[in-house]
Amino acid sequence: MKACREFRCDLEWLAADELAGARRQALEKHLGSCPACRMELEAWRTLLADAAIPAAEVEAAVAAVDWPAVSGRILAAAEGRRVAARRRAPAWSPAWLAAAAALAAVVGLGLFFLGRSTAPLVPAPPDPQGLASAMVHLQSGLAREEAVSYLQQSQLMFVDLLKDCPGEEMAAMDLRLYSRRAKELLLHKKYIEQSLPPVEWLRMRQVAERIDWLNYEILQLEAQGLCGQIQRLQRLLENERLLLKIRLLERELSAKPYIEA
Amino acid sequence: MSGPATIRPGQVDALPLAGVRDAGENALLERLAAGDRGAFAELVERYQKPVFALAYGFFRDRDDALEIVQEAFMRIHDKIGALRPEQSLPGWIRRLTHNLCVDRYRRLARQRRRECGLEEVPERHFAVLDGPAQEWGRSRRQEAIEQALDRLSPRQRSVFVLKYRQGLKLPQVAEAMAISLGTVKALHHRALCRVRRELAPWSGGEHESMS
Repeated sequence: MKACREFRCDLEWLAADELAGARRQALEKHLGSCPACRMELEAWRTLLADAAIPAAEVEAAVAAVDWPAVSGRILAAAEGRRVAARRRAPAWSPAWLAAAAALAAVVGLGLFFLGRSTAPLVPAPPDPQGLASAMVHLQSGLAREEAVSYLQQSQLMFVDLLKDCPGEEMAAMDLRLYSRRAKELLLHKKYIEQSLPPVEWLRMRQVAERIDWLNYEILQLEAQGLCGQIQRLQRLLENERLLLKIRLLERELSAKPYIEA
Repeated sequence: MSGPATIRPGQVDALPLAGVRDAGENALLERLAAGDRGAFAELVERYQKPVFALAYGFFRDRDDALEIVQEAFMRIHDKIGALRPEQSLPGWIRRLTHNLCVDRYRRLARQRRRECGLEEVPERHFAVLDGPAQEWGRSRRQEAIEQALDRLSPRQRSVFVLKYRQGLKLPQVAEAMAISLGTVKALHHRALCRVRRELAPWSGGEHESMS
């Protein structure tokens, strides 16, 4: 009985397979001659076996889940967060702030030297026309940056579309992804163009109309026979040379500086 | 002698505790940092089942586990930037999922204490009623075990789940929970004793007599 008391604490660790070395050997030796401790060990083992979840149960639970739908929900929620974060983010990114600061410095220095040459002792009031023109240039720069981002996103999506022709089992998932990206682009377009200089605005409008048209085509895709429908859009993209047009316009807008000479 | 049967899912890859990042993991993280949406989709694809298996081990309830999956990936999406260079991605996901399970378990426990309406009774409690008659006796014992587990403290339950439903050894449990091995052993002992005490009426109360 004394030996049993000595070993009892170790029984749960043996049942848990966490006992090693000399103590394990001693306990196993004791178990060989003690039916009471063997029963106690068996009770622990039964309890732990009952409490464990059989691997087959987990696998059955995993198999019963519609995983494409789960990932679809996760990706949609993540996208929602990204959009919300973009809306919350200040309109002034560090790059824009740097550009604005550089512009302000140039305008400020210009006004300073202009004022010195005409009336060195009395500071000249800032030229409202110059400031307004600088602001227009800055707005154009910001609008260009928005337009370039829109064109880049469109390019990425259409490049994916050109490479894609999913099997039927992937249809529903792919369709949702394409629809979401098309909707985002349609939404994004509403916030650009307005401050672009007129010539750029006209060119942007031509290209954006074609992008919109293709996006509306994408929104009408159906899960049935998706591959054939995507191939039709691929032909339209190639016939229109839309990717080339997007790339040329993007390059042109990216090359323009914030402050024009 | 081997220990009790534990979950070692064959098809569902378990999330490793830690380890050195491989090139694939680094590439995925770089793409995530660059805001590549495809990379996040890939991450979800790769880890959603292991996260589910971990959460299922904690709650033994499909809906609870699915909610943890959704919550875990939202957390991953928001916090991926906080992953330190020396941390492994699956190890980080494991810890994050585990913490979410513990939080949810605490919330459920509080809710259970406040009210005991039918809507709080997990799905599995009803599954028992739907089974054939011979399942009834076995199910009642299983049910009693689940109820006993439901009454453990969050830390005791964590130790129990990681050890017996995730198949970790106690030093690994300590690592996963970021606590000392001594604390894990104490929690393990208290958890087992408590479960066994709660189950005494089902097994003739032998534990009471042995203590």
